[in-house]
Amino acid sequence: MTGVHEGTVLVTGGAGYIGSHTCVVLLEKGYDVVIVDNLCNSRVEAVHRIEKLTGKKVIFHQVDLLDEPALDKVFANQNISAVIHFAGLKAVGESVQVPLSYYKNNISGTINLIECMKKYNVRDFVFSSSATVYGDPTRPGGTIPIPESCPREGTSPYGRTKLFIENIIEDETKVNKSLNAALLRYFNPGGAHPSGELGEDPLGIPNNLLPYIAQVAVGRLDHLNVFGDDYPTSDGTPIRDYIHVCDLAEAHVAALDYLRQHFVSCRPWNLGSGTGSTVFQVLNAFSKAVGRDLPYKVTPRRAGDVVNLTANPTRANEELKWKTSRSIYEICVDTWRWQQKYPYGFDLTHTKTYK
Amino acid sequence: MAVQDEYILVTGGAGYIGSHTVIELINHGYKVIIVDNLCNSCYDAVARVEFIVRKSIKFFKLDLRDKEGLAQIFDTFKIKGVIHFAALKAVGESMKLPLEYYDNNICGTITLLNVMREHRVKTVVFSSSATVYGDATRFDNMIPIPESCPNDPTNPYGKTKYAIENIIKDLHTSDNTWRGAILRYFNPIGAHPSGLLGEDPLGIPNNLLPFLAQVAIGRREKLLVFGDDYDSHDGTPIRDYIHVVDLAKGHIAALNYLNKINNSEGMYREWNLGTGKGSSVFDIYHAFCKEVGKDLPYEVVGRRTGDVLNLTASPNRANSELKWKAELSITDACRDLWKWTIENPFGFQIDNYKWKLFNTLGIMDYKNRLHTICFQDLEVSIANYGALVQAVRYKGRNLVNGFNDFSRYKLKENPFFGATIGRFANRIANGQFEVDGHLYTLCKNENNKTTLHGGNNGFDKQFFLGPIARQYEDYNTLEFILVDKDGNNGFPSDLETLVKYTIKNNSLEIEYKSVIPEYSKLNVTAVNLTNHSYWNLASPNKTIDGTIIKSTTNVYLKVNSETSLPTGDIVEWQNDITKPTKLDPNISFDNCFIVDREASKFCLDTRKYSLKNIVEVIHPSVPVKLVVSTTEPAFQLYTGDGNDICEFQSRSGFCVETGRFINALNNEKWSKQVILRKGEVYGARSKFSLYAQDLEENKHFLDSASYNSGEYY
Repeated sequence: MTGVHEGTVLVTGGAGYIGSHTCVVLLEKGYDVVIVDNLCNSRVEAVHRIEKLTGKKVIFHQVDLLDEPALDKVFANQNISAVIHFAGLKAVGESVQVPLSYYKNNISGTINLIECMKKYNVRDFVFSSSATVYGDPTRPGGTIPIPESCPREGTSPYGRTKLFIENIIEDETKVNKSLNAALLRYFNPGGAHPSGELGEDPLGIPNNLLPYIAQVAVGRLDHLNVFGDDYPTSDGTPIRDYIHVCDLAEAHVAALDYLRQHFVSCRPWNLGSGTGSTVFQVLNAFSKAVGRDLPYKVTPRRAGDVVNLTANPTRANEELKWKTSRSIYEICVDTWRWQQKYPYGFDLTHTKTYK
Repeated sequence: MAVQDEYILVTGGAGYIGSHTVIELINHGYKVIIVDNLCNSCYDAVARVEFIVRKSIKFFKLDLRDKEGLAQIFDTFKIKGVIHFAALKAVGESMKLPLEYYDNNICGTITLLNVMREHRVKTVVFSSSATVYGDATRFDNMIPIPESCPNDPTNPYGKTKYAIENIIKDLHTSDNTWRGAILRYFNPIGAHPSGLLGEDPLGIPNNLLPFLAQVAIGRREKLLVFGDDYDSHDGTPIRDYIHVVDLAKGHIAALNYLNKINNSEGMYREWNLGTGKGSSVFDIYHAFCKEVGKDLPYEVVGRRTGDVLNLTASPNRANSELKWKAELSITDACRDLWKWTIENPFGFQIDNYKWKLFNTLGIMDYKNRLHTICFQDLEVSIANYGALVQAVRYKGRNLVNGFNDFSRYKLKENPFFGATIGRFANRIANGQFEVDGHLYTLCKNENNKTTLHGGNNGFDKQFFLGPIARQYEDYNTLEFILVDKDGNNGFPSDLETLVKYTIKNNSLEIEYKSVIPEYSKLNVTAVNLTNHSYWNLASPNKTIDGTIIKSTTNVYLKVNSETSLPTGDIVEWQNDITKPTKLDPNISFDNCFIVDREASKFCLDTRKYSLKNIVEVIHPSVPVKLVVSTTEPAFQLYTGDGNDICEFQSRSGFCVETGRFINALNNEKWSKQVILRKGEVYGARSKFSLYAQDLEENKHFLDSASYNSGEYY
């Protein structure tokens, strides 16, 4: 497939963590890439890294999806054949503080995007959704590991924007037979590009476990808080499904390939490993990658946390011919490499490295 | 009650439930601002609300996604809270146009909430829907449906409601001083008992009762009953139908509940608005047939996918917490709907009628519109300002002086073009009158000596409410209303006046009705109303010279040449105007002619009398005849000498101002014509008829010696 032109893909939020890794895979597989990103939560440096890693040119537009005329211009000027939609605000904690911003950016932006796709007859659409749409799957009606048929329920403003957007896409595909959509519900992304040149930009205090541990490892945070070690698990800490960002990126391209070959109208796929890991298992793997034990403290459980949120990825395994191929240890090794090389992420004004 | 100058913003206030809620808000003492983009509603609903409540309402045509426009409203007015109805709301349509529903309903709400947040307005009552529950029968023992029923909407419309409920809840979570009331209604039905307001039947009705109403008036062939094999008392599905007026009151109850919260506190809560009593399709069918007075055709067909047996509400939470419950029955709803339907078979759509804004350039203010009734031969345009007659076009020729530019009507030189004149037309000596021992001093707007045409802020300078436009077989009507406040221009008592225009293919009839409303603190006043149109059969750009006038009366009130006030004598005009009289610069009139000198026969309300012809007018070179008739005892004939405004110079038009005797107030013999007391009605009718008349007939008109009054037609 390499070297053969596969079409031009518009990647919204393509300068972001998962978006940037997905662009690398797209380019390696022969797609042309157009990135639309407003850079409010990402940096243009990520685009430069994508080009460096692949040796290919990326077309980049600094455009906000809320700016309809600017978005329309991008579609008018590029011969776009598909869209992968990552753009959106995505911190659960922040979304509780400023819910209106999350609803406005995430929902209105998506509606504008779909309107442009309709106008320019772009059929294939991959939406970056989230396992947060399942809410608490341990409530009546849910099952662990979580299949796509699990009833959905947003439990944070961020999670609700994902749920509402899935609804919007699903309802639109019922009447618009020129729209072919994949809803990719992923579990806990982690890791970085194995080159150490691309990873999650650690803006502010990290929201998720792996980036948090990485900050402890470089000494920017003094310890990891473990929220509860009295869950009914092998070591008392909660179980989550961690998935390497490169596996995720490959899943997006697999979904895109699938859409090009199949008209599914609207179909969700879980993207997870199917293997859950506890907090301590992740901490131990990261400590091993770093080469020393990392400090932690056990604190009480957090409201809303549940014991196990592992994915059932069977549908994606079978239909998309995709499965995770990188272990939790590789996630930690790649995160640590990225962290050491760029402790301030894409903020190149800081050149200090960890010794 | 609301604090003075604090407003409740009602988004979607021109819609079915929004308009009824606005009425209840005003009846409860709130001041209201309506914001509506009118894409699925009519401004006519707002005009009717104003007519019903007798108050002007601030209205802005605005889409909620227009953040700047919305912010400007919040900058300008002190808004205490918002009742949010604005949304696209047809379940079936939402499945066909989902993106429009999500964009309009969700993104509009997000913009509204952002503007509210920026202006520290944190009270919102949201119009949600029972559709958020989805199929509540998926759970055992969930009927009647309580608020705790898990949400699972099944169509885009319901999903937008669900999304917005959650957005408001998240907002309260982020800032617990927000106050959100979520009202989940069941099936709204009925209409306003006045018959003036209801659901506009645009297109195919989505719901049972509106569909039945269409069958009843013959616009639909029959009702389709989707299944009669359900496990109910008659085999048809059961729903909770609630009268729209009860729904509206539920919103007031929720708003009052939110307003009782301490300033530093907030809340978020959902309430069901339903009756708690389910009715089946056949229950509704029979109740409506009973109101209509006959059985209506129906056909039983198969069940629809997704329909379930029973979706009745549990309204207990609203009953106990909001102290609200549904009071009106299915019978009430059917009666009100039927009244609305027969009086407005096409909803707000009226044949032969159109309107446009009538404002100074660049202004968009809905309180002044220009309403035009068009028949084949006659077209009449009337504005809210002064309920003024702006144009009377007969066979393409405009026969009255008027402006296309509203700002010209505001010029001080405007000699009352087309205006409704009141509270008291013509002159009042010394600008004062005495009644029941009280001396009332009025605005002396003529040479600081007399009151002319009601003073400086008479009816001619006020914006009338309405109109209610109606169509009949061969005529249309426009009904305007004005509430003139006690003390305006010095007149005692509040006065409520209806001006009704009836327009046929060749005539314009004007009817006046005034009463002192019950709430007026004083109970006596003076009334004399007329229309001040300047007619010119030879217009445009010509004077009335050459026009020929013939009257049925030749007696008039003699006036003092200095004051223009009557001496009390009734005398013969020096020439005989019962014979054709050609107007020329040497013949001028500004005189009150007496139709019937036996004033004692006249009462306050003359409408029951038959119309008497008083004046006929032709012009030798124009094939039109104007005939003026009235129920009134007098008319002022005025040749407009001295007028000078824009293109209209001296003698640009003549007036036939029907009404009571000049200064009747201060003449003991005549005052009962014009003194109105609470419980009495002032009434009057006049008619302007137009006839196509060839020039030979005009010649005959000139040759006629006389004709017998009352036997002419």
